[in-house]
Amino acid sequence: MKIKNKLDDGDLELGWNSAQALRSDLKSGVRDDDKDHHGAPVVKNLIRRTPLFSRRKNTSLVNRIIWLLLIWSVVVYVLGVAGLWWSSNKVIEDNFSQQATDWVVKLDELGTPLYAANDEFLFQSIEEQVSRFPEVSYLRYYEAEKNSIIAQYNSGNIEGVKVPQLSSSIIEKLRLNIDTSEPVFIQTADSSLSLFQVAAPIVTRSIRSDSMMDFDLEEDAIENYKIIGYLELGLDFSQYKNKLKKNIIVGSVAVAALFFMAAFFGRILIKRSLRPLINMKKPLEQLAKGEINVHVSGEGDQEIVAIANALNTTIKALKSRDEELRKLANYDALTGLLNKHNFNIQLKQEVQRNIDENDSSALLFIDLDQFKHVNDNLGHAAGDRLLKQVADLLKNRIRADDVISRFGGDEFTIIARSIKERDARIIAESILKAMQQFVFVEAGQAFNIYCSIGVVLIEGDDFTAEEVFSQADMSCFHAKSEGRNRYHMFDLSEQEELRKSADISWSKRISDAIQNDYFTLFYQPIVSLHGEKEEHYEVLLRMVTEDETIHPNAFLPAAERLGVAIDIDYWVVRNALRKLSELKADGRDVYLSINLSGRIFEASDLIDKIKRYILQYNVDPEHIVFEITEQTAVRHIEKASETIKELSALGCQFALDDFGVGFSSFNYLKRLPVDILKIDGDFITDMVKDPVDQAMVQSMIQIAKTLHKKTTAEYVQDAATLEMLKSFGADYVQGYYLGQPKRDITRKAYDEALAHIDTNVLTF
Amino acid sequence: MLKAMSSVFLLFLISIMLSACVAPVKETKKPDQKQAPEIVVQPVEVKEAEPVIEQPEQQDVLILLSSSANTYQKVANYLASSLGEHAVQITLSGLPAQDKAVIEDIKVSGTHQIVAIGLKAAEAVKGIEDKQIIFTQVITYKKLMLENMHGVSALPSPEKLFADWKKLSPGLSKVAVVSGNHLDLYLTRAKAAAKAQGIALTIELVNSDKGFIYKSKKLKSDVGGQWILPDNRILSGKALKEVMAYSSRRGRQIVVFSPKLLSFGGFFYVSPNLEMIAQGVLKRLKELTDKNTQTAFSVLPVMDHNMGINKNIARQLNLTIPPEYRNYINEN
Repeated sequence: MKIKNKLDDGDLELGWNSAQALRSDLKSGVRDDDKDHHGAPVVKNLIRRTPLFSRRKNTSLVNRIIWLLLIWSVVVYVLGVAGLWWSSNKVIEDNFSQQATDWVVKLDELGTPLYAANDEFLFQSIEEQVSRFPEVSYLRYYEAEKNSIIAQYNSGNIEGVKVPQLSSSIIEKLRLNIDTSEPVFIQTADSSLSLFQVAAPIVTRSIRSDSMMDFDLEEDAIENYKIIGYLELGLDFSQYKNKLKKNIIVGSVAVAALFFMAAFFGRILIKRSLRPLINMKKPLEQLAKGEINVHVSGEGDQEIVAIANALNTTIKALKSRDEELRKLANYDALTGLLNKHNFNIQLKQEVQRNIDENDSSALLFIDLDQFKHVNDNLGHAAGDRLLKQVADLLKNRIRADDVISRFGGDEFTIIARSIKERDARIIAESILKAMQQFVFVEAGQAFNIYCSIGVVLIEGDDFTAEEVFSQADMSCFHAKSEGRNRYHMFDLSEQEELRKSADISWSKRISDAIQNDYFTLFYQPIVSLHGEKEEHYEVLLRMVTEDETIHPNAFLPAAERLGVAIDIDYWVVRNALRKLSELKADGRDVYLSINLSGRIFEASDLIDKIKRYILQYNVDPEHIVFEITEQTAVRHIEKASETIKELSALGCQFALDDFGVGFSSFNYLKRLPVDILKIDGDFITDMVKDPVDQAMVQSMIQIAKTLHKKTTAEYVQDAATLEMLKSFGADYVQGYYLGQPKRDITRKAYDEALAHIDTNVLTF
Repeated sequence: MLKAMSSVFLLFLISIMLSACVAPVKETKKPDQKQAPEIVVQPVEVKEAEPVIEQPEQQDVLILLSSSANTYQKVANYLASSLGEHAVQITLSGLPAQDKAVIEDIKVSGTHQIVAIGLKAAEAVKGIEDKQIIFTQVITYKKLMLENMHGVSALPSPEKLFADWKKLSPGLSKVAVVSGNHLDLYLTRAKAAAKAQGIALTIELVNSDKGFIYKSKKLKSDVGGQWILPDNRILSGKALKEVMAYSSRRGRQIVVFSPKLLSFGGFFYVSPNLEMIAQGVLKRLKELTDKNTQTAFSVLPVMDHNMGINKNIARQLNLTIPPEYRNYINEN
């Protein structure tokens, strides 16, 4: 087990890879002879499997170094042995050559009597001398003219071996060597002889006759040469070679053993030296996975300690930053309360906890009633101070186990754990009471800040966290609708209503709709009662899913709460202008009325964006009418006024939608430079029957005329209403009677709408 | 003087004896070239150069040199100065074609007498039948023994050589000479000359430098001196160095043929006196002109030679150079 533990991953991996390769070969039925044919790829694969040449990026550095050491050792060893072998052979060859040359000189001298004295008996003494040297295998003296052997000696080691006489080609070579008398080394055809054969001419020299009288021995006297015979010698150095071979083999084995030991101990030393580095692998892998609760051990050499220190410092910095980010991600920077994201998590956990423990808790959704007033009139800094004071107040009203968050803007949420409805109501009432007693003092002024609270019990598994939240949100809305400064306990009877608007996560759906173009624009004709023939439509937003077409009333409140209303506004503006551009390209003179939400005035880039869209789609600003609700305009009176002025300067027109609903002061109308007042449909729907509505509509039209503004009446559902509006002096009408909202805009449909006007006119 | 006279007389007697050994000369009258028997003219002592002053019947002589070697040129110059306007000097170039053309020109020329200096020149003109040819500076002349050819020896007088050697080394009793073939008569004469001085001369005949080395090294240890003849057939630079080194190491006195060999261990050198050679040639020319003398092949020996003694070797050999030889000490 210990052994196994000591094996590192690289070793196991290599072994495993080799086994896999072998198994793969066996499976694929590769035969040995096939492997021979494909030897190179097999070798290549084997080489690639080694950590040194592996293309995989996750091979071990330690193994790579060890393999490098091993391969380098093998290369050095092979080169060393080859070099030793080659150089030794070379030295021996040179030595043999020198010895052979010396032998030739010696034997040339010894053989002189054969030629000088023609005394063949003298050869016996030569034989006696030569026989003392076992390397001399044979010796022959030739007579030059007849090329015949005049004397020869054979040692016992070539007994039975027939060595041929000198060939004519060798003799020719010897003749060419006459002036140098250098021996010629013979390449024997019989490799079994293992002889070093050499031949040399036996030459006599004589001084030229005309050089004798002026003879000078120190000068290079020109001499005549004459070959009188040849000497052939066979030297057998095989015993020396064998001895050398044996020595080299022993030496090679010794060197191989040394290399092996060096590699073995080198491996141990390298692994020991790099152990601190190896130990870093695990924490580094954890770090790579994103875990930062890691400590890198700073042991070993200076370099490794430096790396470890750097990593630990980095990890510490990451931890610190992570902590900071987590804080930013989970807490509200202004109040220090949990933020929306973290609250949602807590809510989910609480829902689950109640299911698991069969407990119940309460969720309170708190919305400040006068916050916008403070914010708008005293500035954001004052608003922030108010929020902080309210947060402190709320924190003091909850228990330690309870959860409180700033959900967004002026909205706070509280999870009161393990309580029943009665306790929830008590908490809500206590908060209301505390808020009623709270006075916000700013700039020498005192403000009473109230709040509306939606309360819902969290119990059972009927609702998800999102649904519970929607219930609380809806209850808060109810509380506000009921007059603010109160709380509303969620009732299950409200469930159906809620389902439409809140049982789905509108946040996700709206986001998907923007990204995937689930939003669709419908166009409803607005027709002039003064005979203007130009096409004019109100652009109406719908969310179209596979199952249904959803009216904006279902998702716009959620969109506003979730802060995506601006995105929807921009989507509508962008697509409406694109449509206008397309219609213009078709040669149609069309006017479009586009609705803007209240949130759009919170966008700092509203004007720039609209200008950019106008330029981008190359549309006439005069053909664009922006509709804003009366309530929105009043709430953002300054910003709205400023925006209207700037865009009007471009040529855009503005219509005040739902005019009359808010019963706002007519004084605002003076400050809002809108072009059209769009009378709310509630006044129009029953106008024919209701004299009050008639009076209201009539007076609104009169006011508009007084202010030099035009009027549009919506919800016109019949000819009588149309006729009455015309008699009141309305400028434009819109409603199902004239045309329903449609995706497509056709001139024909618009003409049909116009025909209603004409028909009515004709009726009169 | 008396001593010198007795020496000359002794030589004269030896010559007569040698002549008696030689087969009687048969005069041949066949016009074709045949190898003639050798006749060695009795030694003639030419004590000093005696320029021929009056040669009214002197014919034109063509002097043909084997090469421009110094010794050849000196002899030729001496002859030319003696013959005056009758001498025409030509040197072979060594280029076969050119030399062949020269020989062809010589053949058709009106010159009746040719002096060939050196073996190459002698061999070049030996085929010319209608002209009288005298060769010199040739060691071995076996192939030149033709009817119309006569020689002047290039070898030193052995009589004088051994006489000098004995005076320089009175204790010398055995010497040896390793020689090539065809010098039998000269060597016989030398043996007799040595014997006359109380010296036993051993003659070893070889046919190559290898043989020269081998025989030289095989000489018996009691041989106190070795005489090296200028026989180019058996001598090579290597052989000379090896043999002289070998003999010197054994305290052997070496008599050589060139002053250049003294530094390699030679005791003294003897080489024929070039002026004497020239006088011999002139004498031969005169004889042939007179037609009264024999016309068969003969070689005229030269009785005087130049000499140089290596005093260092003499000192090593514990020899005292007699006063009359001190003039011959070679200072180089």
